[in-house]
Amino acid sequence: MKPHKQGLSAGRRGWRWVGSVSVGVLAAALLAACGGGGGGGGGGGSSTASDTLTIAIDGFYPQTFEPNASCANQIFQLAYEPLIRISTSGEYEPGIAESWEYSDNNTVFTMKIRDGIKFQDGTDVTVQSVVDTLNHYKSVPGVNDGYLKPWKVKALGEDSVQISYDEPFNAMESILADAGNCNNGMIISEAGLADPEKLKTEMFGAGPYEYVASESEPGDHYTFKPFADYYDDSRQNWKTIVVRVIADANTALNALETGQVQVDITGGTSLVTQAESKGFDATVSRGYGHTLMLWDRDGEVFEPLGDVRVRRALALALDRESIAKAVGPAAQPLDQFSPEGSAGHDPDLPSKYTYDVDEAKQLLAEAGYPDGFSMTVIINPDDKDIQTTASAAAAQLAEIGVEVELKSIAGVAWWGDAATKKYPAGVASYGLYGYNDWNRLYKMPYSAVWNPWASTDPDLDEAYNALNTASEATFEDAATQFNDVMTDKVWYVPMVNSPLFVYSEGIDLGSPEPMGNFAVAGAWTPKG
Amino acid sequence: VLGVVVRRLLLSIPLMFVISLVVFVLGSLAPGTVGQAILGPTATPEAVAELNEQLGANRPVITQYWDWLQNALTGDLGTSILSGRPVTETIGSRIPVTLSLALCATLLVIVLGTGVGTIAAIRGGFIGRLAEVLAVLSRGLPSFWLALIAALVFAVNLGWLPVSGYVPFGESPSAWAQSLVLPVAVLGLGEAALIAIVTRAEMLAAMRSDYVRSLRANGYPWKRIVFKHITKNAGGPVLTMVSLVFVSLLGGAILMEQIFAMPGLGTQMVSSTKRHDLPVIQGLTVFYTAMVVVVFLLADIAQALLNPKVRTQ
Repeated sequence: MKPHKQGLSAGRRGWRWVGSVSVGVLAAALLAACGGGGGGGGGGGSSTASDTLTIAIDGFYPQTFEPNASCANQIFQLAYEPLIRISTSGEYEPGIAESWEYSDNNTVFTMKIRDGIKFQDGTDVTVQSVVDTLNHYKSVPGVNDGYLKPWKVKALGEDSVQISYDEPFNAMESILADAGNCNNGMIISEAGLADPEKLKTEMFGAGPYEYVASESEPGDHYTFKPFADYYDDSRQNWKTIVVRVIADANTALNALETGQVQVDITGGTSLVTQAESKGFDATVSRGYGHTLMLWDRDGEVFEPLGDVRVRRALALALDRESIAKAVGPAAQPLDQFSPEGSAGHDPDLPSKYTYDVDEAKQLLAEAGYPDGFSMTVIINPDDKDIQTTASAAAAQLAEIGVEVELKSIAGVAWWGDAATKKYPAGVASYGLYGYNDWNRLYKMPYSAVWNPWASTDPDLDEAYNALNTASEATFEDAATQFNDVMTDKVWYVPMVNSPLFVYSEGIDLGSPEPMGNFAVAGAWTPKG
Repeated sequence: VLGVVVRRLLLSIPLMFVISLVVFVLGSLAPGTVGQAILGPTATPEAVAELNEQLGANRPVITQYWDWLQNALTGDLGTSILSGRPVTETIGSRIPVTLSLALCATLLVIVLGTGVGTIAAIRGGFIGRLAEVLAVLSRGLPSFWLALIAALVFAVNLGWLPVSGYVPFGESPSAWAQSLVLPVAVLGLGEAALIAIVTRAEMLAAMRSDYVRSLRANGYPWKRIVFKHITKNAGGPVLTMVSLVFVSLLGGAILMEQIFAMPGLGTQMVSSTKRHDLPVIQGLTVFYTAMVVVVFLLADIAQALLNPKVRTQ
């Protein structure tokens, strides 16, 4: 027994030694943890000073600083000056373009260029800068090629620039403003245009804030300081603005709660209850219409969809109330083409598609499908709301004998496959990837994704042309008419309007423009 | 020892080559193109094709690989198709984060794992069983869940630690440590449990061996037997396991970087993979492989120093 006793004693000492080391390490860690005043740490994005604004953006941050390869983002809004700005009240206001006007038939857009604006590299913003930049965007592959390629851009006298195009179009502001349609209004200095490779890694704008590369790590955080020669200091309300990438929406909301960020634009519908319970402001930036897109309207690869009675039957078989409940507390049923808050939405429009299984079955029988049919519908599993919406819809369509096979195609491949005309239908959101102008879903002539068969219809053509030739006074009526016709044709079966939220604390963001974009962050102000 | 190093280094050359080729081919087979990833769903097919051509993404895979290999042999891992940033620069800016996570977690694993394992082996009885149960329990907890809970408790509710982000050591050592505590603790806990279980088993095996019985019978102090003989003999397998754990921690760091929004190699890898940025994916993978080779090499050297038999194998 002696050796054992001896062993036990030595073992205790060994245990104490190991224990001491462990406790020491833990204590050191805790000491370190408590040493610097908790709550800091933010990848350069820590922001305890009141003069620093930190904004969380999601994992789909711009991978390149090349303006035409990215869409709406605070990074570009800060560093580049656009032709047209979004104001804090959500209107369009002058940027580099001091004023602008359409021709009578909406085929010519003329802008008067403001004098006295400087690029951050010290050179002047001129009429030629504007013409050269717009021609640069035309010459390189970009997100908006469908709009830009047909443009004819020219200087008009010494102070104006004119853009002309063949088809009437009255939404130039959304293309040339500092958000919305992907940066094509951001004017680039001569140095940037001379070396397009540099545009990927450096900024060549005239915006209110300068990008500070030495205090930034692309893909993690981007630091901006006010540009001293900027012409409007009402857009320079912060000494420092940090844009942080936080891929996880829960982490971003936690960062908002602990004060690491003041504005969280990563979150979606699912976190709204949590955000509101913590007292944060939850501002709707835009609605998303989760929709069953019936692409094969002529029934080329799937005959039943060529019959409008079948498409109406599908629309009638959906109980949108229950689908909306499944999606989330803020989601609302949607049974017309234009969601609430967008042009043409008519809250008084009687529903064409009140949930009615019997009528749906009758329409199917009239169309020659009394027993229903099976169809493949593609979805992108990266979007959880879409998954939920599509699954709920598939279960309801089974009630009328329509067996839906949901085929998941992740990421970029979804776009590619949607464009191949292999699949007759898909579930997606309008504006799911940063594009949001409902009426143009019909005629994005360049979009093989949203309209793979490039379908047209005389009634829709008429309504679309009326919309695009409309004056400011007649626009809303024309949009309402277009919404009515589009809803009637059932090319798209809207199901749920799921709003996207911006969460913030102590910051007045203003109101977003119709496409969901806010004024440049420099114009935001502390509340109170 | 030199022989071990040379043998391992020679073996690593074909290994790196094969891995780089496999990654390149698999990466190029992924659905979608970089042009589509950049331009999105509203772009024309012509614009996507034109961009792919400009970026060189439509060339044959083998041509792309050959170009990449030639440059890689001169130390040039290429340039991001999207950002235009050299891959080596990206690695240089992000490696401190991933290494901080992995090394600190390894340190935690060694201290906690061998400590608990040793206690469990030496003490036996209730404390030993408790250590064992705790080890199994912590191994069984999903790390993503643990990370979320830890963030809620220690960062949001108690406010002791930052909920996200990374602060470079050079900027503020204390803030650096703060930013690492939660991810390192979560990352290390499960692996520490594994090391604890292995340590306990190896130590118990050593304690039951004939030479220990002989030493005890000859009146050697128990402490000396444990720390001079048992730990040395049990140390070999534990060391091997620690090297494997380090590799596992490098992988686990990807998840922690995502959850705690830290700009490491993992977040870059996820982001580049989503967007088909093949040069970055390729460069990061080769770099990861090189790190693993180095770690295993160091483990082999340590084994050779500990155990003379290894040197002759």
